Amino acid sequence: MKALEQFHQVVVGRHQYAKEWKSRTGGKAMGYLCTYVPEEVAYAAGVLPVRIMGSHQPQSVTDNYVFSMWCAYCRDCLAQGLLGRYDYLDGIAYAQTCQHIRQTFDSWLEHVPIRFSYDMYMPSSLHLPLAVDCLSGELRDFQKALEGWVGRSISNSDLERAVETYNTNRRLMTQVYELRRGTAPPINGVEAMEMVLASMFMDKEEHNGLLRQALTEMEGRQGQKPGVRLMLLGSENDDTDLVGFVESMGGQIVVDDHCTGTRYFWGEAPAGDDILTAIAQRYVDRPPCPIKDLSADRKRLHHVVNLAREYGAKGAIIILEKFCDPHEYDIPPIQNALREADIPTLMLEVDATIPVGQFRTRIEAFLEMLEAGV
Amino acid sequence: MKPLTEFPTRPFDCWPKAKELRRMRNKLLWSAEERGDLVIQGLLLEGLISLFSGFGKFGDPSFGPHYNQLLENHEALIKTMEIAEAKGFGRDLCSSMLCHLGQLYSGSTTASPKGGTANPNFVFQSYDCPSMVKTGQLYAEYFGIPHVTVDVPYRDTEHTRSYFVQRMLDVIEWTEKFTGKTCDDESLAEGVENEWECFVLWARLCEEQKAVPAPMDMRHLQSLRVPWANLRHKNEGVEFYRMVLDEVRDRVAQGISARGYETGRFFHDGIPPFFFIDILKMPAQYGAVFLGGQTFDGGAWVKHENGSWEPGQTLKERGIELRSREEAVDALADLYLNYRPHMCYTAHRPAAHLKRVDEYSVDGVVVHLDHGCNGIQTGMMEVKRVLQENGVPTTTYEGSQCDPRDLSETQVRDQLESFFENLGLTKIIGETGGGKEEGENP
Ligand code: SF4
Ligand code: SF4
Repeated sequence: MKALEQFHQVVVGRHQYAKEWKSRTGGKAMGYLCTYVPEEVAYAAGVLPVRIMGSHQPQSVTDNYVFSMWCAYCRDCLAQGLLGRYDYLDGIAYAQTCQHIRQTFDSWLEHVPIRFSYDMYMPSSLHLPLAVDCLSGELRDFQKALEGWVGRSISNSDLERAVETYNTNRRLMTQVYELRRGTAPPINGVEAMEMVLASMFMDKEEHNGLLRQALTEMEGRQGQKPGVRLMLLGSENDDTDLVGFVESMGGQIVVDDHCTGTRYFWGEAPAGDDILTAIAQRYVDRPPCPIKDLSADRKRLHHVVNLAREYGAKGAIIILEKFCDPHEYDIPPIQNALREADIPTLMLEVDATIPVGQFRTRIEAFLEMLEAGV
Repeated sequence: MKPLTEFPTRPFDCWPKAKELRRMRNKLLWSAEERGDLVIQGLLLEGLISLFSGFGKFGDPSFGPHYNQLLENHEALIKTMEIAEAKGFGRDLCSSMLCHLGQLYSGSTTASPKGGTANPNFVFQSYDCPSMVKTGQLYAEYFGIPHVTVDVPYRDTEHTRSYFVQRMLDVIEWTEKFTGKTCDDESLAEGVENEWECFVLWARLCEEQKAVPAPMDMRHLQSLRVPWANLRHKNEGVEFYRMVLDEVRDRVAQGISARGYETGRFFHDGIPPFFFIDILKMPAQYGAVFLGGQTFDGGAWVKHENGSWEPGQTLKERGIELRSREEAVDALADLYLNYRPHMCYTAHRPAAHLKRVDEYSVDGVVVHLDHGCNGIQTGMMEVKRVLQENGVPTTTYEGSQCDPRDLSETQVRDQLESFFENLGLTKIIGETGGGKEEGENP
């Protein structure tokens, strides 16, 4: 089976994959909320990190636990736990980012049976050099907690191996993304998103194997038909249907700033004497989530504009998860910065499901405007 | 519910002093530039105010100079928020922050209602709530001034404490360089001691609410907390709260009640709607009281394993003397790491709220579900669930602390009335719920 098809299979059968992995390896699986959880430390302990995500189906099981005016994503994630879809998880971890997803974590601990849990303090002022020291300290505590849980110590060489595997994963995904800079990218937006999502569910060694296979297969693959080159950015977005919908109308998504895309895999842990410091450094340096971007020059904003330029995006679609305040605060500055770079934006406010008819009209109009160069 | 017994009541002696302090705070702000003092802009300077007490007097325009006036004029309040919305900020953001942004973009943030100006030197924001910090960033960009933040970790470990302490020391050093002013470490230590003491006094004040009849209601507490927000690092702040505590203890000793009756004792959880603050007096129509709730958050509490909270002790009471800048900052870190019921990190909330209901002999709880709040709102649905599961009558109402478009006063009144009436309360003759008592300001 072609690698891209295998990514797709893992995404649609994520739970099956994790269950099979567990029975195949005898290892434990740890769910995590938010990509700031340094999953490589768990991986070094022989644990499979699995990102917890929603299902994009209407649900009403969270109403007693989470206020309905909190983002649908955080409610959908909790719903999956309450509905038993992650019943194979042995543990769960969270790193402090947004209050909504914190609520998911707190309520999960309260209502979904789980043996191990970890709440990691993740500094917010990531522009300060002090943040790396603080985070490495947190990583040391996380390591100790994991050791207690799995019942063995995590050696430096375990950590080094894990970092090498994760760095390779990030490098290979970056290589695939690089191919999207050209005029006829060999991979479309849905396939790219599925590749990244699969990485969040799979054993990274196996994912690396598939990525290598994908890169070889892409060499002989015919490029996409030219379309209107677009960037996607904004709140958490794992809605491949929405991406496919945009592409079916003539949009060609070439890059993104999503935590289900570049923000997940951007940057490698640098070489260094202390492995935990190297891991911490990578999380501090990666393109920040809005809630962590407090730098005077707005690192995220520059990163977004550069990505859009480098990948030749003619326009950007900003996905705003309804009630997602962290991203909402960044939208006006980002729209202004992209406008100055001659990159028009369209904002789509999404919920667990999307209003297809309304979106169709807006996306069509946006694409027409971009094509006409107005 | 309890029978309708009349208790003595009397106006607070401390209101004139509270007014005086409000005037003092305004004067500090509007004459800061003239005096050559700093103006440090925060959004809601909930955190770490004493960090700057080594730099002499400074103006603190948090809340925005027009905030209180706007709360009394719904039309103007909505218009202010619409100014921020026109800039692209969504209506579902924290309504207080939206109101701050509206003031910012309308140019009113630096203008005194009486004609003066106060241009901030920099924005300082402790990272308690993400909405505040992101708003602080926009403020700094608008004014073209630095945005200085200090993360407040929610766990006290060797590395979180050193991160927190070192960052505060760096901020002091940065302020020295940026302003050319030297931090006087003795004044810093005094400011930290004062902030500590105000936190402790506030907790003790809230604890007096265990008395039957309660000496205050939440409306009183809300007003009494105003100097806490801006002046708790100053001697005047400490003196005020010592005086209030004495007065409140005397009220307890004399059996003086908040509003004359006490047929029921309730908590109001979540931030109240400031533009409809009289909601806090609603139980009085039934001879009942809101004892407090979110207002308790301004205290230094020792949190016990079983969820119970007890007021902490001041630094002096513990024999702690602050002899250096480092010691002062470390004591401040200790206060924020270990004694505050961290508003954003809230897994402990349901147990603590349940325990409080028991310790304060509460008959029911009203929870405000604020549409825009991302901080204090966390965990509120779980609080409600746990209270209800444990047989505590609890109701919620949806609304907003600052956006009248998100709250129907009639509907909320109806809802609370049926809640109280279902609990067996009846409206009493000679309604005590209305009117404004001297000095009561949100
Ligand atoms: S960042 Fe936004 S999308 Fe993500 S959990 Fe928070 S509110 Fe939801
Ligand atoms: S805690 Fe709530 S009300 Fe306060 S600033 Fe944060 S979001 Fe707004």
